[in-house]
Amino acid sequence: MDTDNNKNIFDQLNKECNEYSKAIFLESCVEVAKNGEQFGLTTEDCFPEVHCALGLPYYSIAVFGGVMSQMPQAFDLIDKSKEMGVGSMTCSGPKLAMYMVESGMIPKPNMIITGNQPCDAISALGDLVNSYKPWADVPKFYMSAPHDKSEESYVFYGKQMRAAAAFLEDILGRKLDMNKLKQISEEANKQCQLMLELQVLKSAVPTPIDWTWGRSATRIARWGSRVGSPVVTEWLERLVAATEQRVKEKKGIDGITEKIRFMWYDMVPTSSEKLFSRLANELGAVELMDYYNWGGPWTPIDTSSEEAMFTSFAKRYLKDTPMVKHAMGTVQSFTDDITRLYKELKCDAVVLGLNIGHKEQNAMYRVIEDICRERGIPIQMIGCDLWDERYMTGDQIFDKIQMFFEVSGLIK
Amino acid sequence: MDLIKNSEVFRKLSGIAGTINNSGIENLKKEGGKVAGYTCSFVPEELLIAAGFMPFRIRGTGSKSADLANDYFQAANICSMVRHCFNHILTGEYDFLDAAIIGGGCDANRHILDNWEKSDAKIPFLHRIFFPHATGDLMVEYFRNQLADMKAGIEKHFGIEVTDEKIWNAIKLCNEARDLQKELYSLRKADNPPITGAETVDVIVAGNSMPKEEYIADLKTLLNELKNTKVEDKNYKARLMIIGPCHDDTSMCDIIEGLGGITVTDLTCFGAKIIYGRVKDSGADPLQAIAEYQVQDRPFCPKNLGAHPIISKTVFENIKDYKVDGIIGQNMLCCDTWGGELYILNKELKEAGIPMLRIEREYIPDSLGQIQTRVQAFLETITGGTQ
Repeated sequence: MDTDNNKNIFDQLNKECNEYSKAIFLESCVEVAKNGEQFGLTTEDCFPEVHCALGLPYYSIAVFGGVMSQMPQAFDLIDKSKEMGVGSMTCSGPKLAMYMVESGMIPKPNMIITGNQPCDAISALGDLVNSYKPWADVPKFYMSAPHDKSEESYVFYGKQMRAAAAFLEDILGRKLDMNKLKQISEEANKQCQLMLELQVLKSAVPTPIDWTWGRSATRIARWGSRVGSPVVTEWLERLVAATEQRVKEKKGIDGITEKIRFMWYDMVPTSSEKLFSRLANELGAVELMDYYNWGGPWTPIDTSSEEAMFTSFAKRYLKDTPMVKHAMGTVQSFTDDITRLYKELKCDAVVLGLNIGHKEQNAMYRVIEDICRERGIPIQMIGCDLWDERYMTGDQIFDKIQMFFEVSGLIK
Repeated sequence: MDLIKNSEVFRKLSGIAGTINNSGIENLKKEGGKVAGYTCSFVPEELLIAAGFMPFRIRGTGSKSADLANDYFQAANICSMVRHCFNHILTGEYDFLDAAIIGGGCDANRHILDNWEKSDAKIPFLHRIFFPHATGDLMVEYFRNQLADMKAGIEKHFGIEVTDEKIWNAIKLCNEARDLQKELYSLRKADNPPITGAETVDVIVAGNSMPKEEYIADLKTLLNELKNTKVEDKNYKARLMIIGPCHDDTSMCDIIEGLGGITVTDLTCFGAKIIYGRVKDSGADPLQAIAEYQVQDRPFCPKNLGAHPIISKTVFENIKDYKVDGIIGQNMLCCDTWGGELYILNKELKEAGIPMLRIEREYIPDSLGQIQTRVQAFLETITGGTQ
């Protein structure tokens, strides 16, 4: 495969991904509502395989908030969300989503499922959605994710997922086709395996592709209406093959001389496109992993029985999904995961976004830091607002990271 | 209230509420007794009492600074109650504890356990339990299993057996305390209550800070004194209700009552929420009874999905029963869940014509002047500035 051909493949993959990704955006939801189709809303999508098997358009309000934070009108809307009078220190992303609900930007759904993962702000968003008067007559289902990593917890959550699926069946007036669910789950297993393969390929030195590819894979393979679709599998296969080719040719990211490998261990900030480009171009620092750019490993769905499938969905959600998995368990499991990825991806450093709204991380930052240092992992805590660049601009984050790399001896 | 100021038993309870360690604990420890601390109101005292502990609800009373805790919890965005409580843990205020149960109620509280384990503050037994954030039979079953794990952990560590009979007895004891506390609250329905809001806070907080039998005896004495007191006509400017999370000090009530109003009831985690209803005191499984009470019966923490209708119903019932003129919705600055809940409640109260004042505050009452100005303006709004 020559260089031009390889570039063409990535361009084509990017084009297709942009098309597929539309299914998770507010515009798609508005269109579906306009067409009179039934659709569901959730605060956080815990079982994409199920709504895909039901053929139900299903949207995450938290994603709407996250996407909106990157729009030109974001600052204005964030200010309006602050004026609403919800908690003043609540994460700007969910707060933005709260404003979108309250201001009528989101069409009235046919069903709502809310849950408490991954954070208290999402619980607060759920409470607001559940008590929003114009949606008072919309059927609602509440889910409670446990916070301990145990088999009992996965069974408990799997049972809730089955009950939530039954709730959707009742409203839709159609049964979940277990064969279809099995088929989608098996295809999703292949996709998760391909995402892991991509992650392994990214661990090559130099890393063959930039951070946005992991995000693209996550977006279409774990979110929205194409989870478990053969189209996505084929897309991932092409991405993995093209990446593998670059690894064989020992090619790094185009135009970048890789000097530092780091992981942004959080969701990425709204300034990420510019920030990570600057870090790569000016410092040769490549970002290898973040909560959107997540290769797993993902628990395979056991399709041997209905119960096994739902318990596996619970594991995949609670044990493997970024941010959700981080809200589970203790600081030990959090830092063990950092350590694993640091080693696997051959990182030189770890940056923790420490979003002002992430109470979880902020409640254990010192111990995270201590454990990482004991293990010889250079780690930096930023303390930004992921959704509002006015709190800390991308350039300010760049300066902080640059200084961190300097004092860590990574910039000679 | 002149009577209560002269009441020996009130002075005792107020003293206990105003400190962490107290003579009751010291005496208990001298006699070989054990004390178990806990965070979050859903950690069942019943189970701790059945295991032979004196339960103590961890609070940050008397804390002047959270400097040490800020090394563990980010000061800028972690609830100051959690930080002040943990600061007390680090400074040794809680060294008398033989065990601690951390309730995973919110994202900050949950990690007290991680930080405690990694700090120099040692404790013989540290355990965390999780509360389900929705309701229903499955959630009851989950919480029942959490309680069983907690019980097994205590039994193993301390080499004791916590029998069903001991748990039933503890349930009866805690129900008795709750009944008496409810009786105290009902006295506040009167036009001229014999006890103020500030005084009630002290009496209720003391209930989670001393041996239960002793507390019950003291509360009976106090109730007897209150019932036999002739209360003069006070012509209060307004009768207020306080809603929000932890409310374990009297500062908010002091402000209200210093300005001529009175706090007649509340829905807070140190107040009415812990005295609500009764745990079923007989049946096949005492852990199931506790789980049903905590998961199904009590007004929930707003962290629970679907909690709002129950919180709202309870608030409106209280407004009617206690002839409430206005609400103070107060939450800690970083509390996401109460921040959201109070926003929702505020809208409903506005529609119902009930005035509500929203206050976001820090655990240590350090901006009292500003709060006082806002409460004064609020009282004037309620009275139309005529009184």
